[in-house]
Amino acid sequence: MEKLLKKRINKIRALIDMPLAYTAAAILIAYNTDNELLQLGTFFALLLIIVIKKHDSRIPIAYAIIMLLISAFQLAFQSETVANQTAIIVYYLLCVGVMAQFIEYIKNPEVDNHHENE
Amino acid sequence: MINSERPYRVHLSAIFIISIISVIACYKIIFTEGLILYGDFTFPTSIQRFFDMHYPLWNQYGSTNSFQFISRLAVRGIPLILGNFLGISAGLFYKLMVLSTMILSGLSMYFAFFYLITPSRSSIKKISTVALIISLIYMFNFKAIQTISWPILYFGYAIAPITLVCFIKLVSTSNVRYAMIVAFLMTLMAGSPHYLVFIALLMVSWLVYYAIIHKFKNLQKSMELIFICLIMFLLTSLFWILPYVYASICGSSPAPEYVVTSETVDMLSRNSETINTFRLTDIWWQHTSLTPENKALQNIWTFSSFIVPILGFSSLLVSKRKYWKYSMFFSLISVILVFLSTGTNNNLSFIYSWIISELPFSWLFRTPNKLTMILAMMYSFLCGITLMYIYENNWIKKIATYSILIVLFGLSVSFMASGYLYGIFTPVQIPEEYYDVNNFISGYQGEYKVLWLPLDYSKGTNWASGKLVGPIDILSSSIPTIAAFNINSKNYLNYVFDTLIENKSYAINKSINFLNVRYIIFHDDVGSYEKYNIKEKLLTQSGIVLQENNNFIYAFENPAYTKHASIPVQNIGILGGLNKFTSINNIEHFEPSISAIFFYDQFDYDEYIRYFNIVILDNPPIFSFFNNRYLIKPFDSTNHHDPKRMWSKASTANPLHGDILPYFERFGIENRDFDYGKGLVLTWTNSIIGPTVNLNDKDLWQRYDFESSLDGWDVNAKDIQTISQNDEAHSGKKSIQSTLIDSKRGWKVISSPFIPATYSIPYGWKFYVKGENAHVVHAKMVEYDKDKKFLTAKQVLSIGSETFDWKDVTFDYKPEDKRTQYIQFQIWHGHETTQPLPNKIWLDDVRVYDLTKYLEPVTLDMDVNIEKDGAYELFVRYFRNKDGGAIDIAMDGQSVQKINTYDQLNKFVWKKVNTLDLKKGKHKLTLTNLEGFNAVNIFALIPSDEYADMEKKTEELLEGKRLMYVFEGESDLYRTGANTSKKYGGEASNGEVLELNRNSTIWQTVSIMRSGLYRMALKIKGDLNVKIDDNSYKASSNNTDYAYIGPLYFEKGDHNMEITQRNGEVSDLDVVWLYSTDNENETLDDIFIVNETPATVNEYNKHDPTLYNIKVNAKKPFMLSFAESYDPLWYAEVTKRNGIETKSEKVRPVPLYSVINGFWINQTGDLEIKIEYGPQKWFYVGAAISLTALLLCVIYLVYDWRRGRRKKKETTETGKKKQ
Repeated sequence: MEKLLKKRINKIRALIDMPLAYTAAAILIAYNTDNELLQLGTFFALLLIIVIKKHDSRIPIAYAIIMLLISAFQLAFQSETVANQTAIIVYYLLCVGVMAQFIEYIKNPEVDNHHENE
Repeated sequence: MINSERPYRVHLSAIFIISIISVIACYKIIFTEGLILYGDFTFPTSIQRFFDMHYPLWNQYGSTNSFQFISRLAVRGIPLILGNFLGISAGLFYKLMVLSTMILSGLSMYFAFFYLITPSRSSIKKISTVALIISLIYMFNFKAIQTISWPILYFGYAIAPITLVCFIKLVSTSNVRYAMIVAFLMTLMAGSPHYLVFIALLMVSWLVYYAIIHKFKNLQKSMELIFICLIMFLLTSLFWILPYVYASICGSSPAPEYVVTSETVDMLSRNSETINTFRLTDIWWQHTSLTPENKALQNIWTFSSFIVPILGFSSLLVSKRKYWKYSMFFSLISVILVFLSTGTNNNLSFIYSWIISELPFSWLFRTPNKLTMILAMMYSFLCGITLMYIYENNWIKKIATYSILIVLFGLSVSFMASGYLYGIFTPVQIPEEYYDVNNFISGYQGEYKVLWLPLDYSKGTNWASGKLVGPIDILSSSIPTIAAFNINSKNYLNYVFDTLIENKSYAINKSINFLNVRYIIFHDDVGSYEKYNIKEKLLTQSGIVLQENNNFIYAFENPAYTKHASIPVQNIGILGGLNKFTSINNIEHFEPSISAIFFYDQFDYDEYIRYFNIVILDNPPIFSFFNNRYLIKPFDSTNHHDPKRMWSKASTANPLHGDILPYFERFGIENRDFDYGKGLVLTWTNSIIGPTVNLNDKDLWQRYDFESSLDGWDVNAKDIQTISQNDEAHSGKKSIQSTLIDSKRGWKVISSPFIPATYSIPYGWKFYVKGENAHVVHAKMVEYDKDKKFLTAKQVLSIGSETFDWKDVTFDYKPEDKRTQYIQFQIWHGHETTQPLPNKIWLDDVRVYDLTKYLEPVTLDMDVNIEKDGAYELFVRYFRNKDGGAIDIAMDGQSVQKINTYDQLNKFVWKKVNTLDLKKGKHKLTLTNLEGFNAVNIFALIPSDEYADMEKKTEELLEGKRLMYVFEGESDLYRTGANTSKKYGGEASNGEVLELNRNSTIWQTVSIMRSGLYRMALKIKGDLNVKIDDNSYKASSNNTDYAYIGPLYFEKGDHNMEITQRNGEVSDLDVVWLYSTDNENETLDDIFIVNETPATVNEYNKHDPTLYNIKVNAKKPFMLSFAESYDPLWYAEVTKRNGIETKSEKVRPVPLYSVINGFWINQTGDLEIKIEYGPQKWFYVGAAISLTALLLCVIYLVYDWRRGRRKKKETTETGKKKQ
């Protein structure tokens, strides 16, 4: 029983540790609220988690680029208002990604977290 | 083949490619005859005039200062001199300017990226290829194309990348060479203050960033070099900095003359949504279409427009470690810029509003989308880093990816680029007639000016269709001009032009003689002025003669023009604005060119009252003596200009974004009063809907759910448009649907029934709308009177086009006409529809709410600082007018007085509000609009004891002066039963008269300032009775001439004047003059016939447009009139008196006639007077230092280069020897 509980806790922890998941969660929250403070708070929390947990700062940036493509789609086939809403979330994601990368760089100036090709 | 070991070959190839592409892009511009002519890209037809725009600091071709252009000499000086020397045409010069800047932008980005990355020998080819691609991105992105319109900004844009990279190198390598280069580039960039500030902020950002990532280590050397760089920049820029410093010390700010308000920034941010800012398409005014017309292409375009930001931000994913610091910095700046560039078009708009309202030089940030020019640079660098990563792939993948990216980028910008480079910037031929008339007017001796009419090319000309034509006539004039460039001359010339087109005077030359205007050139090629028939109106003018007519251009000569520097024989002070000037001009023997006229209420030059012999009064002149420290300016207490919603700042000088004349026109008010240079606030609303509106059923006023019927909704054009209930509902089961089955001229309208409504009550509207192939759907509100007769209509919404799903639409509307009893909501669409037929629109669940309970009063709070306890007199200058109502003035929340602002007459008046006992400290004065159209100029809060002293001082100053009062029949006298008429046209004073019949009564209260004898002159036709207090007098005239009464003795104080018709026949009253006199038979004309001249100009020498020497023989102190637009930086100085050199004080000018400079010279004898534009000599000092600094800079760079070569040679030789 205890083992099962531990396993479940570990699973939940792993889920929390999944930056892909909570970045997606942050996007969903931002999408479903008009409250700017809540949006700001959500992405600030995302930044904190990424920095504290030392996650790969490129995740929100990758999301931002995908979302930018989505907003292009929305602009072409839906409306400018919807596309702009997505662009605002892109903006928040970029802020989080750039800030996280900056902090990462300052904290570990000599360590290379990126895949070098050369 | 590119040899990777020889970078110069690679560079040569890149230079060649960039140049070829630029030539192709500018092909149509280069190979079309004529001049580029579009908006701000309007330059003279000769290089010499173009140079004159920059130097000296006073431009006589427009009569305005050149502060805006002087710093551009660094960039344009040598090319202009060279161009002039080589004799190339202005058209070619401007074309080369565009082409060379385009090439420069490419090369700048190419070399910036190349040297930022600092390639190893093996990677030269890779980096140069990438640098070449990003240079194309930098050259042709949306922002770059848009910026071509502003050549100097475009130049800043072009050299920004190399400047930034040199600075980055300066910080990281600590090499003096970079300090010199950066200083030099910054000097060039200073031509555009925007770019100078933007790049300076960018440099500071890099420095901070660099310091953080290096943990603030090893910065001392860099800081020293930055300091050297700054000093070098200041030295090389002193040629424009010193004149600016001089101007600031003299209290004159050479900033643009427009008002920056929240609404202006909102307008300029209107297309700056985040999605547009990301793509660099945040252009507030799109002159050409960005997108293709074809629908399928549009979708591809939409995707391709995202290519640059996607490519740029991808660098954060793929950047190599060694480029990390760059990709992070550029991305950090990008995200900051994306936010700032949205201006107030974001959820945190208060941040940008704060920047605009609180920061110094905030006008630089007036247009937020200018910041995206820097964003374009950041993107280009970021794209370069991503492309470096892509380059690592095999050559097929690499070439394929690069090709796709280039094609997508090309596709995204091609429509806008072709619109600009092959459309609006295509040169046009300036009609030969312009050149001919310039030859004609320059064929005479002497110093004179020309006035070009009309004053602008609004809505374009017939010889340059589709172009936004700037003031090409004035800029290209062969002889000096006076133009509406400077705020005072703009206001005055607009007044003169209005006087002409409204037929208010047949002697328009009287209004321009003193401007030294010998020729009026009217070019009848501006469509929007055709309706005024200006040519005929000029032909009927008495003082000017048509000398030359060439097709659409007419040259009128004004033989009575005055000299450039002249001495009026009498000095007249006027209180009451420019309309008083029109009145006095109507007096036959009054000649403005020999009478210096000064408006006391234009600025606060109170001390000048002592120099004037005649004072024409309106309000008591005491108000001109109120010290600035006692004045409270409502203008400074708001940052808004939206009078239909709130107290809004404006000025009677009518600056851009703060003009008041359009509102006067809206209310049909004729007024040209001044505001003491303090601005004013105005509004016509008494309530505003509060920020927290919660629409609920309790407030529901009307509802249309369409469940059982059409609820009274209907359509027009029933032959092609139907309306019916429909099952596609947003809520409930039914909606209404309108179907349009044919494309025809005229708007198709879906109308609500008439809805009872009340003036000034706000109604909240909420409804759902859906469209299928709909065409330009928009909504209007229409107001009707009690008989359901149309009153007014206003567009309230733009709903959309094409196919769109249910939209939830809400808006507020407050009826604006007092007579309104009904309102009607209308949806307009389908005028010559281009959408596939049928066009369908659905509408559902329309709700109308009464928002009265959410209303808040329209107030304006002003901070007041009281220096000591005591009694204070509170005065206000407000606008009494026919649409006025009431205002409330409160101190610290307590109402002090309600003022009725309604009046039959429209004018600014002073009123004492109350005497207040106030404690030392901060207080709050609150202005509330209770009803009607109101404007408030200033408040004055004066200690009671000082006020008494001011009254005494005013009386003393008026001693010995001739006092005159003027009352125009149509605008200064109250009336019942009398009508205004324009039957005499320009013969009547101010163009109008009052027609009196037996039931008419005219009256006014005359406030006599000094006891004494006065004579009354009435310009009338007919027989009138004039009653003054209890005494009656008769006045008669048969031919609209002056009839005189008196002299009569008036005690100081208020007197009632009443005029009635005498014999039953209709009589006309034009104007009433009342003037103090000692001579029983003195007529109005006698007053202005002056035989004595206080001084005469014996000699006049013009050294250059900023320096004049004048020899004067003066019997008495005199006013020297100098016919250049008023600018406080001019001064006059007596250098010799009776042949002996003298050191006298510099005399600063006052605005004569509200427009030119007048110097009061308080000396007599044979005088030599120097008139100089002050900043010019500081330019000379600055230029000498700048040239020396520049020379040192060049010497050092040459020395450094030679030293580097020598070292390199030595190293090579050493290496060879070792081998």
